[in-house]
Amino acid sequence: MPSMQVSPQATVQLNGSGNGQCSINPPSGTLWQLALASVSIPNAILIPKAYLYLGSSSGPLTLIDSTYLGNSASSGKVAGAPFYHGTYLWAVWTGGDAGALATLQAYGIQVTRYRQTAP
Amino acid sequence: MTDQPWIVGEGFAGAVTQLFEAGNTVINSDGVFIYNGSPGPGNPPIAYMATPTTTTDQFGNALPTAGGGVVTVAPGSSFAELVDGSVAAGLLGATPSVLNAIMGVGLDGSGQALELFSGEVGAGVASLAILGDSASGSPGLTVVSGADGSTYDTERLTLQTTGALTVDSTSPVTLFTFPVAIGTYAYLLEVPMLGTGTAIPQIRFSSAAAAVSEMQGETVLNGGTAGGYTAYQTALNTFGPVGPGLVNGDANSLNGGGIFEVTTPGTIAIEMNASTAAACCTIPVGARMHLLPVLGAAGGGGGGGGGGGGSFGNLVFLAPTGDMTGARDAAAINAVYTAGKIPVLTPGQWYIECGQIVYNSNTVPFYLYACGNATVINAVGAGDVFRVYQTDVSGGVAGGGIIGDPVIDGTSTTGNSAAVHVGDIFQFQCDITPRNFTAGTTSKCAWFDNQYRFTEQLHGLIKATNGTQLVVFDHNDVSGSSTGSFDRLLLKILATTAGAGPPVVFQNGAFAEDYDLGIYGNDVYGATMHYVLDLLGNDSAGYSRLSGAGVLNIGMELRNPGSGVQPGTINFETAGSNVIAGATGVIDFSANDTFASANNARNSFQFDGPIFGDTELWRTAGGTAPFNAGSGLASGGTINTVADVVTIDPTSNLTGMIMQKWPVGMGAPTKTTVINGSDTFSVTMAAAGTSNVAGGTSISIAPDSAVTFWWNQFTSLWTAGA
Repeated sequence: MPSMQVSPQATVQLNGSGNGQCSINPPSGTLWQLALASVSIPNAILIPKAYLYLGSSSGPLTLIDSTYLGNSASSGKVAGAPFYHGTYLWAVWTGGDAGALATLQAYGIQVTRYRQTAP
Repeated sequence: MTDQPWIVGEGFAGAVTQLFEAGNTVINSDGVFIYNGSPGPGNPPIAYMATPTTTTDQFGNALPTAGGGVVTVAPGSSFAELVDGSVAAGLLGATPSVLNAIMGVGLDGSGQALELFSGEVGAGVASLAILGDSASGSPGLTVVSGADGSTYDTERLTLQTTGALTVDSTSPVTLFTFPVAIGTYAYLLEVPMLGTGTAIPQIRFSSAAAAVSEMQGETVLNGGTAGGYTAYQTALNTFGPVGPGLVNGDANSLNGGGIFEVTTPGTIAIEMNASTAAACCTIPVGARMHLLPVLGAAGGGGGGGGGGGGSFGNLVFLAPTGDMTGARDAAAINAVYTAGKIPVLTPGQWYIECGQIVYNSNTVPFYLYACGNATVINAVGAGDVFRVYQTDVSGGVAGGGIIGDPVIDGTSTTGNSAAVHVGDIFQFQCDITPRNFTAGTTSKCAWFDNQYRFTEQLHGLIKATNGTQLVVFDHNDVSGSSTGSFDRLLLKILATTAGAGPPVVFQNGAFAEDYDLGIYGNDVYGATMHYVLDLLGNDSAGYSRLSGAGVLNIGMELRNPGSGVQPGTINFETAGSNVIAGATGVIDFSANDTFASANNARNSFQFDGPIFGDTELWRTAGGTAPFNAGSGLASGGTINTVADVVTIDPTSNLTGMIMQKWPVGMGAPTKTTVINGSDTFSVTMAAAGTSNVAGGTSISIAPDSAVTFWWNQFTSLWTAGA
């Protein structure tokens, strides 16, 4: 099962209320085994809360972790679940600076041909 | 697919918590709730802090609104109460409580932020202390004395009337009462008065229990309006000098101040009454008395007798009354002496009537303290400003003095006067600045006068300016046993004559031995002749003189304004009798303009030291030849022996000559050389018993020769040298 280190990321501009969300998901035929997910907002004035969810392309579904320090925090709880194609990692921010750019980035291994058995 | 289990890592730091429960305490987004038992439906919290809009807890239990709890923050309120029992509806209401505290002025309408009570709060119960009494204008701590309703502002140290008082009878009305401990207090009265009654208001200090040993100062009634109050005040007890004089002002008010000393703790009252049973005045709210305990001690010691103990002791600080007649200031000072205390004249313009302060005590020394030249004493009338003496012919008490260098000004004197007239006291100290005593022909800046005994070891610094005479040493015997002695005199005199009179005078047999006298200053031509140093007259015991060894320093500068009479240096009124002998020092009359030379210096002056500015004053020790008897001697005459060398020019053979013994008080001679300047005639002594020369008639000085005579102290005879 070939694998490689990956660090996918997504960015969203928070709305006028300082809220926003974005997601990442593995490409078709791959599996992410993530070790860490981080949320960040450079030069934040209002410190937002941030939440990590498992979800689908439609939106977040299952809470993984939360923090009052949504401008700069990281969580290892993403290691608790495999991310197959179609499984999304969502980050949701509330109470940040209006218009701020919030980034979700994950770190882990991307596995291909994970369905094949050993010869 | 891996067979390894998923390992979950560490989550976010600062995870968002919506609900916190710890035992019976719940914290959520609405607030903090404390329960008696497990939180849940049917068990409302016993205490909580919640947002104003929260009326139920998370279980739907209604939040309690009053009472029974420990801490509540009621909806809409902005304060907290600590209560023992039910919460009072009001803040300082009638509900008994140990302490009701409110933050913020005026919430209860009283204008007081905090009141403390001795017991339960209730209607008619006065508070003991008030913090922030905006109603009375006192933002600090106010203590209610309670007895008469006046309050004592501990921050401003002020007693203040809280109700109007009517004074219309002879019965005293109490303005203030206050407890006093042992100590010294300064007070200031500010008592406005309303009304224009015919009766005279009187004010007094009444000490029902406290013992006030002394009081000084004054109370002034200002009444400039129609029907204004007649000057009057009185004092009870032994309050010392409180003068009756008043100063008319523009408003009806009574102002005063001073200090008093308490020796026994108790209560003092300030009372007012009318002089007759008639309308007098009303004292409005706000009459004040500032009362300040004076800390520190300067007392004890000093021989004033009495007093002492935790206050100013024997020192009594006086302020001038402003009475230009000189009566009140003199009375105040005399009262201090009467009380056995020592006055300290604080800076200001003082007026003292001459002849009023006469201090004669053989047991208690006279002391007067001043504050340098900032204390200005204006002499009024004629006579002595300070007459200080003792009558004990065998010796009274030593010491005393006028200390602190006050100015004593004689400009307002009207006749013969003296700033100080002191005598018959041992070791008196005199530090004064007398000036302008010229109203009389015998006026003096300083007059030291022996009448009963003597004034030895007098010491000090006198800065005398412009007097008919500046500093006079005198002997006017009264006791029959006094002497003219000012021996061991240690005195420096800074004299500025203004041309009026001599800086220093020894007269009527006054003398000094073993002295240290300095005469320095500035002289100027005057209307009449005067000398820097006058040695005048005699008493039954001898002539005025400076003799028997001493240090005499003179440094006078003369200014000639272009008119007037040139002053002289030293006046030996009677040659050979009014003398300066056995002295050393430095004499300098040479600065600036020239003095007239000394009068009768020959045979009167024996001085071993530099002399400048006088052609008649010669340094006698060390080989100089100051005396030339010339040709005036006749047989049986006396040859001067005061000088080291005497020159004689006889015009005939002289016989029966006498070698002079030194005058009384000049000490013992050592030697003198007699030169016979005649080339023809001889000089032969009388018999030893007459001539005072050992060998008598056998001793002769041949023409054009000289003989040195040595004084034999064991035979009291002169002995001719080989």
